[in-house]
Amino acid sequence: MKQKLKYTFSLVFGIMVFQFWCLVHPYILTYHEQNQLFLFTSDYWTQRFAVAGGFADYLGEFLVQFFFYPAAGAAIVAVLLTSIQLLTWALARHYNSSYVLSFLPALLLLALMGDENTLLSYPVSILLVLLISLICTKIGKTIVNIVAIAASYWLVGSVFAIMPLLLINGKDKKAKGLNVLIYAIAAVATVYACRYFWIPQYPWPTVLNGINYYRLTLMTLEVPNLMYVIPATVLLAVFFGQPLKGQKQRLVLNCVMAIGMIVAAFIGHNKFYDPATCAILEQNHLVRGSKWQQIIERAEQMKEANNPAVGTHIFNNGLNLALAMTNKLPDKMFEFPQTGVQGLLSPWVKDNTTCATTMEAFYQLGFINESLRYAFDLQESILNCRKSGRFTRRMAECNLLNGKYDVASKYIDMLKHTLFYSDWAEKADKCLYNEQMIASNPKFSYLRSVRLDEDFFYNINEMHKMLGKLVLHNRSNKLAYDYFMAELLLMGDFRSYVANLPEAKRMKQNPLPAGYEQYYQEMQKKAAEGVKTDVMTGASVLQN
Amino acid sequence: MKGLIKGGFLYWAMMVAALSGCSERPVNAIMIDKLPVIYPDYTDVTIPAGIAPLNFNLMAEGQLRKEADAECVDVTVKGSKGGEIRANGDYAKFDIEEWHELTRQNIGGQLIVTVSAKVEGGWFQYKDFTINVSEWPLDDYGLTYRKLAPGYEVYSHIGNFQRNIHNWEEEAIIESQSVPGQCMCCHTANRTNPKQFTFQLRGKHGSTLVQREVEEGDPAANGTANGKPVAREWLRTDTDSTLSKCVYPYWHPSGNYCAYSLNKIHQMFWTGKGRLIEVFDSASDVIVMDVRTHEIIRSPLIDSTLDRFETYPAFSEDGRWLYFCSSRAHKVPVHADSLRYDLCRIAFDAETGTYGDTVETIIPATELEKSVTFPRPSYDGKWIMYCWSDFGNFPIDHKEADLWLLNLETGERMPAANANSDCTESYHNWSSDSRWFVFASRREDGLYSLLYLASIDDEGNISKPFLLPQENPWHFYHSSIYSYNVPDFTCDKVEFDVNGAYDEVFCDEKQQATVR
Repeated sequence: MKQKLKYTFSLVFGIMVFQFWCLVHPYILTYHEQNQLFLFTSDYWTQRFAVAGGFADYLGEFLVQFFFYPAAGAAIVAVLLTSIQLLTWALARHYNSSYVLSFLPALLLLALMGDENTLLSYPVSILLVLLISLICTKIGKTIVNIVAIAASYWLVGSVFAIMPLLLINGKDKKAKGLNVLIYAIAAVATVYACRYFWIPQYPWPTVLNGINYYRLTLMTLEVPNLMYVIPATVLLAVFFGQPLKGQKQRLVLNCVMAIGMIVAAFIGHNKFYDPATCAILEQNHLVRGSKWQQIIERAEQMKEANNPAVGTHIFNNGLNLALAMTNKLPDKMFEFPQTGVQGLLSPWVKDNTTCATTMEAFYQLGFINESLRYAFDLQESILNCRKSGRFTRRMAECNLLNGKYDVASKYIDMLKHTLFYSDWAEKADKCLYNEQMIASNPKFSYLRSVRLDEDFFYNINEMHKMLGKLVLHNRSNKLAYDYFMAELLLMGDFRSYVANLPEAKRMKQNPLPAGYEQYYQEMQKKAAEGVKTDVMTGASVLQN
Repeated sequence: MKGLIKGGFLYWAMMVAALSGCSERPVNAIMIDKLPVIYPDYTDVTIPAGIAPLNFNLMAEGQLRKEADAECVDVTVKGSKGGEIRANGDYAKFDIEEWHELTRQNIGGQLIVTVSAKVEGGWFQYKDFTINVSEWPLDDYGLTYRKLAPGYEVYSHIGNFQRNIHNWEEEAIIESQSVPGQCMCCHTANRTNPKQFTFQLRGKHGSTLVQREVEEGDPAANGTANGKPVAREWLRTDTDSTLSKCVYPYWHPSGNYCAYSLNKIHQMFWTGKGRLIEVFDSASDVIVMDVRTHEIIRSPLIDSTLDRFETYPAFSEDGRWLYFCSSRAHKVPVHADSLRYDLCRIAFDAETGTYGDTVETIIPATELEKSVTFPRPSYDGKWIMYCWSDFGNFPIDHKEADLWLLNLETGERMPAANANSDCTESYHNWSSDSRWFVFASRREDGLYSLLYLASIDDEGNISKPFLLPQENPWHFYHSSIYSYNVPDFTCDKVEFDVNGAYDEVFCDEKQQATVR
């Protein structure tokens, strides 16, 4: 194949990767961004560089901050994977191996990145290993290679293990064998010394699997199997890509491999990009961006397509919030399968995503302490112990609203060291210790007016009472009223529902929303028919 | 793109500024008739000679929690008994050796601090302030503490650390990544002696670690620390007949026993804008464990008492009394705000490992509608320092919580006046000679607990506490996301081989504590 054509294929691959991330799975990119807080501070650099693989991690997090804008993230991933393919090919050329097979590591990385917990530091580490290996093979000095192996462990972590093989060169087969042995000894000695002297707090499984490749490793000690397979495929692509000698046979083999990879990529999509997880992350992305109308339209499409995500608590958390924010909750709530009160506001679930929507709902409702708690615990649930720009900002907002300026200033000053939250932080900084500025901020002043002042114990099992308190505290809080009435409907508390209907008129909801009216009339009808309506929920009345 | 350029520029500008600093001396300084606003507030504090330098930052006046916009800060420290040192730069950063020498030269005297700042090309000099150098030394190696984010139900990173208080060295004893998925309780040594310590891990593989130095040839020895044999044992402390695993520990002076509370702990969250969390027990007991035999020694007076909750055990300095906090049982969470703890004690005979047959109430806090927690007897037998709050047994989230002192010779009770603030004061512990104490306070911002040290004289007068020094204190504390928990002095460095911790904790072949 001609060189130009090969570069064209690589370019096409890059464009396809870009489109895949930008158009199909942008929310995975924003999820990554949500789970880190890259700071332009020397401390941040020092913390990252203090562990093996920290340089690649720092570089990975530097890039992930741009995922704030999915298109930028997609471009970064595309460049990264294409570079990996090109570097693999560059190394493979040394051994006259196949161009087609050089796509295999990059394709497998694409598959691996369907797991939302795969950190960008892993492909960055692979890229760096390939780059360092390529430079070293050009230099071709054993001592340089040994130094590169030792340094690479600290720079990229455990994927450096393939370097002893990648660095062999020269035609003398005996020397090759000896070099591999020397390099392997250097690699083992480096890992052992580093672990013993500098990272004794990390157990061996974490050290060997890589400290910063996978978000869950610090907790589970494990990484996905593909993380073992990918370095092996790099070696495969470099050393074993061209077993056949005849040109025709090569062409046939390359075609078969290319078709095989394309078919595998299509077939493997659903295996590596779990639809249920993708649905959750997409909703998380939309809620974060306050794209309420888009959430409703998406829900309608998913309902029509009988998507299994419809009718789950987490789906309803987002949908009901979107309906409430667009004043459609009373009318449209029961057009979708409801899952009880947990579909309105979720009790705390110990992970870094599920309750992000409820955190948002609490904030909009005026439950500031609850939103703060969820934001804090969501951030603490990031299992590689990173902080989050999104949640830190929310914590700053809640503390500003609670008048806890000293704590708010800590978070705001932290956000000033970021790229994409610093503008907000500079504006928020002006609100610190400044009641007038808070009052002149429409969102803050509104939330302060609806927030409860009285301290009492939070109880998720009595959320209707808490929502009732919110309504009584500020009768212009229509969102709280809609949630309150929705809670009563979902609980089947018809008596309280009827008792609180007049409140809708006081809130100038005239005429009464059709949803409220419809439920009321249906219940009256059933009562007239002699049906016992005490515990009939809105779902059972309106969805039959 | 604008943000990228701005952020990148700021970062590199800061890096360049940090490297360049300033080295000018004040010229024609204009005198200002007021004290400088510095962070931390080290004005008129009392320090021990040899403590880490009291570096500080010059803060903006009238604008809270911002560093002053000074081009250069120049600080001169003169000793009342001689000596002078100087710091010059973005903040007051003293040389450790020079600082140590100056403080040792001025034991019992004062350090007079002169602060000048260059603002818009001109120098200004503030009124001098003083730092007192105590006659009492503080020769302990440093402090141990747990660091974690002050959260609610979830933690990410957590760790037990030790800090050399004479310089800036901080070292992890054990961190959460060493034992994934296990919650870590605080390191507790026997009266500051790191040769005997205990801490708990909670979680699927939870257990209680007891590490103690033993004699050569002791069959319990299974490791070494500082070249001496140690028995390092991970114990399962929950039994069929006791309430829970061991929770809050306190060593008997002999080192043969360790008292623990057994607690069923719950937490609730506040809605509103003031309080955040309430932690309380639904049941609790106190037991003593013979660490040599792993036998749990119980007393019907403080264990399995259905009508009372007992917690926070602490042995007296001679080991003859076991102090603890005790509340009438209430239904929780409904009546969590009715839980009020008295300070009580029961005799303990270390020879036989038996309790006395009566419980004495030492501080009837319930009668005053108050609650006593964290009793910590001084090692010289003079005082018990405790936490005094409106209710409950977890005052960390109680703004009104203060430190109080009980004079064991006169029975007099008094607030640890100078140590207290409008915010929470909670965990506290004594130095090995009981002339100094460390405590955690939320006075900084109302949420993050930081560590303060103060001295106490024979009459119970307490010096103005000083915040644990850091190299660049404002930068360090303002960017820190950790609270400091359960600080304690350690007279020497803690030796704990973390290398084997993972295998030991996850192997699940732990020794089972038994009930005597």
